[in-house]
Amino acid sequence: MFESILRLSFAVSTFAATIRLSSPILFGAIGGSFNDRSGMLNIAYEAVMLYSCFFSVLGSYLTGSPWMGMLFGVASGFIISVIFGLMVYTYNANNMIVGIALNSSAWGITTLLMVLIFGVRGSFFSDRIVSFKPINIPFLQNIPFLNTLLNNNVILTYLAYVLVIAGYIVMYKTPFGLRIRGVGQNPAAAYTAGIDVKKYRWVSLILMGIFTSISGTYLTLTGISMFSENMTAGKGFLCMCAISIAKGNPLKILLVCLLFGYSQALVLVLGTLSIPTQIVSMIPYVAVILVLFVNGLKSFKGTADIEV
Amino acid sequence: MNKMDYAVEMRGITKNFGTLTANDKIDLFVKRGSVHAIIGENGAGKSTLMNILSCVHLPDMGEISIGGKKVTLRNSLDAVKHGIGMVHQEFMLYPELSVYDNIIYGFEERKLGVFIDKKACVNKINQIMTSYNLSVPLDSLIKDLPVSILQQVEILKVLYRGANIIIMDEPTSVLTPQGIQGLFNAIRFLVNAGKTIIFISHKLKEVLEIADTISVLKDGKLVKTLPAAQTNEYELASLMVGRDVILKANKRELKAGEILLKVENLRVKDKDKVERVKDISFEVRAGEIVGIAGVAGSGQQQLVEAIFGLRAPEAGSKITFDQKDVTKLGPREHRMMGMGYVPQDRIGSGINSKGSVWETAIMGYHIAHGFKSKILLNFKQIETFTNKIVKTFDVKRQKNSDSIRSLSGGNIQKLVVGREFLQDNRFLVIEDPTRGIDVGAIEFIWDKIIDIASNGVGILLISHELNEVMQLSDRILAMYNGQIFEAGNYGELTEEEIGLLMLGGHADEAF
Amino acid sequence: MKRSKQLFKLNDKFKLNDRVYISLFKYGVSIVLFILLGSLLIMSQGVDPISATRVLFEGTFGSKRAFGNVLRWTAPCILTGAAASVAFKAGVMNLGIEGQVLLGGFVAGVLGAFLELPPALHILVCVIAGGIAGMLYAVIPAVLRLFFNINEFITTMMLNYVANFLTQYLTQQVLAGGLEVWGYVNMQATPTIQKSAVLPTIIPGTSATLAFPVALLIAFAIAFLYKRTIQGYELKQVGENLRFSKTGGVRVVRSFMTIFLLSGLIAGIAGGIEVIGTYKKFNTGFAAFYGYDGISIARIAELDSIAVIIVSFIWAVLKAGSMQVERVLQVNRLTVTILQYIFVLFVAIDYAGIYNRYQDRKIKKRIREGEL
Repeated sequence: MFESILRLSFAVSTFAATIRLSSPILFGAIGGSFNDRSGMLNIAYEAVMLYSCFFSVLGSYLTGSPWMGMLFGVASGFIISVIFGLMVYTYNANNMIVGIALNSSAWGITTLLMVLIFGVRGSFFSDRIVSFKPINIPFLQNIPFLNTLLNNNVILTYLAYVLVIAGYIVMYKTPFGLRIRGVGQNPAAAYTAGIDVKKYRWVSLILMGIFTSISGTYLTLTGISMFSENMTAGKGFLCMCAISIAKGNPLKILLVCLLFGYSQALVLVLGTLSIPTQIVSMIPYVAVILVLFVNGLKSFKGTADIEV
Repeated sequence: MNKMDYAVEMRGITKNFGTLTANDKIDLFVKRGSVHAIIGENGAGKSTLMNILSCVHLPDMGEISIGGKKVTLRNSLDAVKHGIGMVHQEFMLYPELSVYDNIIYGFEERKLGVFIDKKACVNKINQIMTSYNLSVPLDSLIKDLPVSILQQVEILKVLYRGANIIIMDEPTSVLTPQGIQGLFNAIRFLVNAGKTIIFISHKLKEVLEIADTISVLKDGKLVKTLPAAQTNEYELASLMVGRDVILKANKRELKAGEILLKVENLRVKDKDKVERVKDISFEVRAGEIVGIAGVAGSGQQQLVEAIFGLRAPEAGSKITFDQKDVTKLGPREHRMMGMGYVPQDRIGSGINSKGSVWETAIMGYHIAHGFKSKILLNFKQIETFTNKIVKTFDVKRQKNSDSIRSLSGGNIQKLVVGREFLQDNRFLVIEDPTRGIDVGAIEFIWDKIIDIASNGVGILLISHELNEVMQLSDRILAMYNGQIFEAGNYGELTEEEIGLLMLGGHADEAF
Repeated sequence: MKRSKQLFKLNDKFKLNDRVYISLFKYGVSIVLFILLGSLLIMSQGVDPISATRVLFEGTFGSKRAFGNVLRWTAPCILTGAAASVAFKAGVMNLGIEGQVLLGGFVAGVLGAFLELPPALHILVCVIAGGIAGMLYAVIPAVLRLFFNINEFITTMMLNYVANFLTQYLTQQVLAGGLEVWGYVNMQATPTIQKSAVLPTIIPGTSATLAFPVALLIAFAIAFLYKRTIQGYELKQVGENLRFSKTGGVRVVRSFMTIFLLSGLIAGIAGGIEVIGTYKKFNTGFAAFYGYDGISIARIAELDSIAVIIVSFIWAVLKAGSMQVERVLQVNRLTVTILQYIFVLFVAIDYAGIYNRYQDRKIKKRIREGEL
């Protein structure tokens, strides 16, 4: 039994699955890292993702093209982030409550839309929904190990990792990234430097909306080609956790997302053994707490205190 | 008047904040290449006026001309474009970013339009540093640097942005007398290079030393503009307040009792594990006022935190209160033993800005004094105590259940001071009790401090206002870089001598 | 300048301190928008809003049974709302109420099924044990926050998922092993509790149990705690300004721990009561939405314990009514859930701030034009 666990945990196919499973979280996490650095705590990742899941399916259903599906999804994510921005930046509502409200109503609204538009509950699938097709990269085909690990993925998977690099460059090598980081640390100072703080916060919010919605597209249009009620099941929160643990650094976000992807891969792989699914399903969530705990050990002072 | 002589002309500037008129039709003409000081008490409108010039605020009325041409400033970028740069009183810096990032922020040199051109930026900064004789470590993080370096960073910032008109808002509040001379040298250097300096201060001696022209503001209005060479401290003071005010306290004869507070070999690290208090020892007796003078950042914050139990000192330190070892005890125990604390950070630590007047008034009292019941609040006792504070300290409020935000800053301070003073404490740690308070209230609070000391209460006074320390203290200690130095008894040393000690001038006398 | 001061006097009435006006306006506008949006959503499902409202009232006040149903839902709403308000008032972001409810319910369900005790004692044991379970579950994020400075909003959220899976596992895998002994087939729930553990009803023939008065009692107790006790005073100060409380000598660590534990305790009791009062067994995943409902209720009630009671009642009316509307008119019950959360959004808007900004702009304009 134990050997089976070890064998499965370190199989190449498991790692390959890790890369695939990390991708959706990467989109949301990198996209949301700017929002986090700009000083706004936004927990509406579940909402953005779920709406995008639905609208991506809708778009693909209507047009037969996964790219159009993605466009629909991104549009919906854009709208949700605009709503969040209006509520918090213009109407001064409490950001945590707005996040909770958006997340909680997303299930209801997307299910209602599914009922109204497609006439079914539970889940919706159809031949008219077209997913992205996996791409075969020729030169990888001939390298045995790398072929299993990296080849035959949907284009979005590869884009996710490109995004990591892009995110890093923008965050640390462009004026935009520098200014966002400053806005999050001292908005008054940024204002005196002539920075339109509101504008930068809005832009980073929209970025979060756009990329998190690509996460949603990934969940529906990269293979399963269907939409089920509340299908995000906490993946949005994982994006948020990744950003929080990594403190907005794209490279660290990559590491954390890979960890999440790996634990999700374990859930799939170990489920084939007779280990109860629930125990395995707990792994990603416990992993978050453990990572935070290990992180926190570094500054452990031995006594309880509340830092102001 | 040849218009071309003026770098800045401000006419009829008016600005209201709600019902408060901060600037009332002010005219200001600043000659190019001069040092023009704007002086006035707290609340006279100096910062507001300069915030309008640097476009942090927009004026309600009035016009501004730069270099003889009328301009409309809509945002801070406009101000920068016209060569106006401001060094704020509160540093506008990003703690987690490097000095380099802070300087270039918002004005980054670009490569291909989208990337930061690090080489070009660094070159530009180096050029400025050599031209103006400044030097700062570009890669260090702001949070790791001392205040004097941070001020240089601020100056570099405005020079990097191409400022010709440099506004400095109370720049000397964080410097020692020697540091101030360094700043003045830098100012003279800048003026020689053709810059115009506008200098906001309420410190008359400094202003008379460095400025060419002085404008006096009072209650939002311009009182008078006059050349520095033709005036003196007394005239300026009376223009500022309308009466001869060189603040003096009514000091009484010292009647010291037994030792209340004894600090031995105290070492304290701050939250970033940097040692800020380096092995100091001193004591305070009942009825005695011991004043600690020092520039902000010399370790006073950590000293007070350790004494009051808000921060644990390092091993080997010993703090004794009334012959009991309190080194490891917290604020609760200190209060129960009769120690009170007026914190420097009024809004952050002194009050609950979201609550009512009585909620702030009884904090600490409810522990030290307690109520009839151990579980229930006793509203009668609460009313009594709050009213006592209000009456004794003349706090202007309507009802005790009002939000504390309805009180003015001065009244809030009086409430906080009153709360600590009226709990029959035996010892008080007082930080900057009169910062940001108007003259009348300062004298009031000083009288109360002297009064309570003469009733046998031991007082440790920490103030960044050297005059305050000199006026009130029976014994003065100068604190510099985590160490303390004897600075004589009341009236023994001059301001310059104490200032020198604040820089560790007589290091061999440290103990 | 005198004229501008006059202007300000006139408008002072609406500035800052007129909380009554602002609250009335806020709730008024939100209710109107709620009705408008609700009508739209109902119409989009092919039903007219008037009949929907009629059915809603039938389903809530139309019969003794219906009203009992409302009370049955009010109880957990009050409790989760109280748990949330206790936490959030002190600045503790306890998003893990759902998990604490689950654990409380599980423990109560197991003790209810497997213990043999006289009725009153059995109920007491189940409820208290449920509360303690919830309380202990809250210790984890509390310790992580107090000792390691890990923000609790993530830890509590993750623990929700863990609680869900854990109780699922224990129910399906561990207890199902008792198949032979209990002869019980249902794997989604624990065995039915003994008759001695069932919470008695207060309106016979309905589902309204002692849960309702117990919830009221707890809500009143919390309100009393905050308004009248020294501990409550300290907790409020800690929540509003931590540094102030620390300097004032409040034992903040103890206060934070108390908050976490209290919040978890109330949530656990909520779970226990639901299980022994209504379901009479622990159903896996029964607490979906309980946490966020509670937080939303607390927010709408502006963290005031007494207001929580009122808001919970309305929330329960909507919940119970929505089921009836679904049954009779086939309007999906999620419609009401959506409306509830949109109502939360409307109430969260800072109307006072918008009004003030609008006033400021008007006045500035008048000064510029009127005076010169």
